Amino acid sequence: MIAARLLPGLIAAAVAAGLAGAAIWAIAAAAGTVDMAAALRDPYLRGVTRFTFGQAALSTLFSALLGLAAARAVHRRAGARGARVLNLLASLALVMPTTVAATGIVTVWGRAGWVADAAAALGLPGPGGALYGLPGVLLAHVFFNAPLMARIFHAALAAVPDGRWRIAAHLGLAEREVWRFVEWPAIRRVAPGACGLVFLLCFTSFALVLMLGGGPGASTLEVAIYEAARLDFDLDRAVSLSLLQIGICAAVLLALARFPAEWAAGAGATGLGGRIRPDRAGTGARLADAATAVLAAAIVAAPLVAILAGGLTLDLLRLPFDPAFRQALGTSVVIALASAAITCMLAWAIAEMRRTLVLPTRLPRLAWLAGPLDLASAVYLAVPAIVLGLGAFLALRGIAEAAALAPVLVLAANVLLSLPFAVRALQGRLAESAARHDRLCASLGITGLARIRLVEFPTARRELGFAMALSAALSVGDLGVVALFGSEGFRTLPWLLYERSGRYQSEAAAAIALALLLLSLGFFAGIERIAAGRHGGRRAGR
Amino acid sequence: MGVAVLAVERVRFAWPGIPAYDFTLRVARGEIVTLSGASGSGKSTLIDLICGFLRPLSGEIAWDGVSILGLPPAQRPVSALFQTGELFEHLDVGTNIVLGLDPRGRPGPAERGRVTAMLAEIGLAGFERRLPAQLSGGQRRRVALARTLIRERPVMLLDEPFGALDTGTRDEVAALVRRLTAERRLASLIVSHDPADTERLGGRSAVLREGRIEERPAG
Repeated sequence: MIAARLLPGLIAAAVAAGLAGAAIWAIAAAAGTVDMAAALRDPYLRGVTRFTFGQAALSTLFSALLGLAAARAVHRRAGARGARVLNLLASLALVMPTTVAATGIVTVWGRAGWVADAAAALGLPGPGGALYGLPGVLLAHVFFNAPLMARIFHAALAAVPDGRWRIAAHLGLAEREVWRFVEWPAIRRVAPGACGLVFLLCFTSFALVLMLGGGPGASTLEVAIYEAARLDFDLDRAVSLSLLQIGICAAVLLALARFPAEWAAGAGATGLGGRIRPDRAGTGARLADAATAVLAAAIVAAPLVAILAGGLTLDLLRLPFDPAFRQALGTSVVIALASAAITCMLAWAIAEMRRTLVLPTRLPRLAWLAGPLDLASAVYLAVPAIVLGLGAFLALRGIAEAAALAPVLVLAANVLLSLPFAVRALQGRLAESAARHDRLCASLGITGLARIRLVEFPTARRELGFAMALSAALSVGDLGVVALFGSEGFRTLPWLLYERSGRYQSEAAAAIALALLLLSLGFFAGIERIAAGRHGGRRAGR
Repeated sequence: MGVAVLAVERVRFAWPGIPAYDFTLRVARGEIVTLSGASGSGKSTLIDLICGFLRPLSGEIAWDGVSILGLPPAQRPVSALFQTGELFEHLDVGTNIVLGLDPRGRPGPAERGRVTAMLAEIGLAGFERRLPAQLSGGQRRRVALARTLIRERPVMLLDEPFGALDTGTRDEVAALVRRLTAERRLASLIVSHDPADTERLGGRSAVLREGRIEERPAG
């Protein structure tokens, strides 16, 4: 009985951990021929490591600050149009392909971008090539991660019980005290986990750094591995860089395991808090919220608008007649749909196993297994796409042509990329459903498939739809393993966009960027709506 | 007192950090026992033990002289109404009730007919397609009670069944419980905070105090 409950989750976790483990094993085996001590003394490797750490730390700091300001502004202005726009921006940034975002950022902040044009018109010095390097990497990372932070922090604020806001309003607490007594205790619970996640995402950043980094002086370990493996074919260097990356990421991931996986629980919260909080009308709060809106518009909205404006050209109409585009589109769609389906199956099994382990009414003696399970679902953060690809290449060397297995490798990397987000999307709802329905189901004898059909699926279909939509959107926009193994015979849309950008076909690249953005948004909105059903995943509650 | 059919014999159970409970109680067929006691006295713990959600440290729970401790909750001769989480919020009233007859949720015409009849019996005729969120507190409680009753198990456990009901509805539901207990010869154990419920329901009353059950004469 217990084995049957845990088996699907164990299999799913084994698949995720097995893929990563195989890559690590292959790289570690290859390291036998590498002089690691000498590699660690290499000034290039030290420089890359230093830059990787530095940009990840700064990106996390700036993302957290802007994300926190945005979360507070959206919560404080609940119901206002501006707050809805900020929310929409956060959703758009979440599903935006990295290659598309990089194109938009260049359009706004690049040597011949909007800012340069505006500066020239005003007779001011333009940004020149300053974008390429640390500034560009930071801008891009804040573009992606500030909205993610904002979502997490806003969920934490929205989960504060109404009673606490009522007391704050009743006592007339000033803005500072509202922060100290109401907001900070909620933020503090989720901040370490959120910051750790963003740090790892930035630490393992690939496509953005590849497109905006600007050479060896501003390269992450992930990009350096790619350059060593694909451009220089220096496998020894690629292996030593990979081992270093895996070691650092695994250490951060283990440290992160101490923090709660559920980011917000809303018992006693109805969303009333934002409307009754006492600092809504304060001048300081109004100014802070306005400044946040301006900053968010400059960093997040401007590149989005640039992609729309830049892509609406004749090249967009020519795309359907371009065989390379049609091939890339077909490949991307198939991989995205397959990735979404596999991700959701694995995520459901892991979330189901996790709730069995952590609920006190189920298997409290095995609760310690929840930690390793979380690590298995988040293994991509320690073994990201390029490392996974390198591991596959090394493992298959002499057995099969890794390029021939490129579709499978891309699919595997996309599944691992989406898995932590999908698990987090599902596990809260499934745990809540179990806490609510376990006794009733047990007493009525509702078990197995009947329970999934009658209880779990209807209560979690909205989260399942979100997980599936997010997985598809992330997959369709990912430039990871395909950068290593992409070729004329196997290309995806992000790969095609990167290729055209590299050939300075900027108008064609802008059109592909817009098409890719529309495809991601289409996947995100379409799948979520279909999965949520006719009633939008109705969830009754009193 | 009639022949004791639900027998809770020296059942010991302990939550961490508080003294152990030691329950002994008998409820006969056709009899109603109302159990009261302060918060934390163990009323809901006793219900969970009889339902099979908790396992006693020692003692025996038997039905008709046969131990039910080895049976999973769904196979015990018990139908229960819980204090919280009594309905599936995403399922309509008809489906919520029919799950008491068919846990796979694929009822035939006969089962549907019984649901319709049961809804009429509890004063909610025509409510099959409504969602729980569209019901008042009293109506929700009656739907949960309908599912408890439709299972037709010989032991009925009701944990605070009148909590969300107004006085008039309390009287109606109490009369229904009394009538069905007599007609179907159920062994009914009802947990309630309100002493007036004992009068409404008739039968015996018992009080939980310091982890033990003290019986009171019929009132």
